[in-house]
Amino acid sequence: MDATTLNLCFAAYLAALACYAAAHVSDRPRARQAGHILLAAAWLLQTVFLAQRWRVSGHAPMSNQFESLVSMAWGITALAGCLWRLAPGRWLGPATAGLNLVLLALCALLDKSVAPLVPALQSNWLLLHVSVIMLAYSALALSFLASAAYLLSHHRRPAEQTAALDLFNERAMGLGYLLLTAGIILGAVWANEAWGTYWSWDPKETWSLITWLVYTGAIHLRRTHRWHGRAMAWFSAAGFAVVLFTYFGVNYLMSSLHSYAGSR
Amino acid sequence: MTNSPHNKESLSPQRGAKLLASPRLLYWLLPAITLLSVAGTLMPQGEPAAWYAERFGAWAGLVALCRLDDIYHSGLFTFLLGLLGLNLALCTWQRQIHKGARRDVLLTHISILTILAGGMVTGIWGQRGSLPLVVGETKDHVEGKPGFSLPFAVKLEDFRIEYHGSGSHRVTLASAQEGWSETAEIQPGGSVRLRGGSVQVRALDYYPDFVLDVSGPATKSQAPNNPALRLEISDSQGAEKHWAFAKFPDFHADPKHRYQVAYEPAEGRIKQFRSEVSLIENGFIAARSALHVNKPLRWKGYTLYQAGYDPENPSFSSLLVSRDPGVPVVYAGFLLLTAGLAWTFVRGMRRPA
Repeated sequence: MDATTLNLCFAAYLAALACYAAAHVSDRPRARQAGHILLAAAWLLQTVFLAQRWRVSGHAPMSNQFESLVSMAWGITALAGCLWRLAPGRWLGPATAGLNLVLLALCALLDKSVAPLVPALQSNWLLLHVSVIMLAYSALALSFLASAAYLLSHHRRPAEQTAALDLFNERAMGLGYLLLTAGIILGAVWANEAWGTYWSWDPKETWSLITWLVYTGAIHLRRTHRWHGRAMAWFSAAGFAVVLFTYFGVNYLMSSLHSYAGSR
Repeated sequence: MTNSPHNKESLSPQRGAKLLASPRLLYWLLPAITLLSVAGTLMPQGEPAAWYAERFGAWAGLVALCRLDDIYHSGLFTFLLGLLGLNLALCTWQRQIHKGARRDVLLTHISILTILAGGMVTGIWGQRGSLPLVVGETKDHVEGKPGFSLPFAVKLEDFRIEYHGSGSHRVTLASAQEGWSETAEIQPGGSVRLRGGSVQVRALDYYPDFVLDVSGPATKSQAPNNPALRLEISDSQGAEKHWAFAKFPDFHADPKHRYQVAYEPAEGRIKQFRSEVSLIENGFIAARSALHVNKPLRWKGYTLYQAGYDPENPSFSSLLVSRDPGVPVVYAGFLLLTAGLAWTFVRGMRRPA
């Protein structure tokens, strides 16, 4: 049942991407609308999958890499929906569908088994901390998508649209930064409850701080040195590379108190 | 080096003060702190000196000299954090308070200063150490760097490791007569169908630590020391009951049975570690309480955490004791930081495109 829902979700994202591609080639608004509807349907299927997983396991679906990755993919589409009206042009729909396809394909490589929670994860802080961090990564992924769209198309877009794309990047990054800060704080409070210290320089904690420092630099450069356009787009892309290392790299390459976050 | 007027200016206290209060310094400090943080995740931290000597040979001395074995507590890292705090304080003073600039940014900067101050309080006055105990033992001295004594004694009354009992077990059924075997996962109380549905296997009972006492089959503990399953196998010819022992596969095999069973138990996943302790003051029990992972015990400014166990000694429990006056300061900083950034974000969203 679970696998079927996720496979249907993948198929819906694929169909959405096909519709967007058809709309791009033929310039038919109906194909684009079909893409939007399929994107929404895919997100609903993702919601159903996460709800099923939650019901079966008895805990929030955020206890391992597979569950958190599906949650992150879900968050990308949810936040894209929230920020839809701020996005100039027609890049957000296909970019969201494309990134979701990549993330869901990655999910296929991970262990999907449902297992009881280890003692360290048996806490309400699991839902609070991991969901906020995953939403932060989703917002920063949108910032990355906006940067990629900027870098790939700024030379052929009207100036107004590139400025709006740059502003979308800033807002998505601002939202991601706020959520990342809140997520790190929630993790610190949880760590103080579970491990007796709010900060222990564990590799996952340290890389979260590194990610935070990188985006702190980006936001300050934008505010005080007026970094815009290409420079900010490159910075945002580099920031997302750090996010990916914090999320994936630390789990596989470093020994961490967060090792249960890796694929079991 | 010539002593030119330019050099005099570059070394002047005014220029130094100006640099300290400049955002440009932040753009040097952020990469420096980031690089040192990255280095700390690449080099294992806090290992004994012998470990570095074995791993790095002649270079181990350099590792110790540069404090690469404890980067986050090194003088350089502490200096950079201090400089960051000073830079932030001066920038905030000059640009925010003097010039009356944005209050959301002011709040955010003050929050980071508060967190750094809280971290300093933790570093200076925080106490932390371990309290290893076996059941029945009482201690008031905490092991750590440096060790400290508690104003009360802690007696470990009981320690239990609880296991998840609902995991799936693997059962392999074989029929020598018909020449087939098939494996399936089954849960205690559940059933599975094999051979296209023609054979049903039911797991009647599960005994993680099987013993035979006067009342019959029983389990000695929840630890999976001697896992056993009671199975019922039924097909068109009738039903037969089996005992399956994970550690003694041939035990209790009945030659009259039509089926042979091999059993692999569910992994003994630990559900929770629970320590029950008494807190003793002046020879009397002042409180008795249980603690487990994610549920610490707070008493008189000290917090006790469930920290460790010994798989070889079921009566051993290691507690962690902490007293950290920096926590309220850091938490206040956390609240201010969240409020400041939320304010900044809302402001940014309201700004016209």
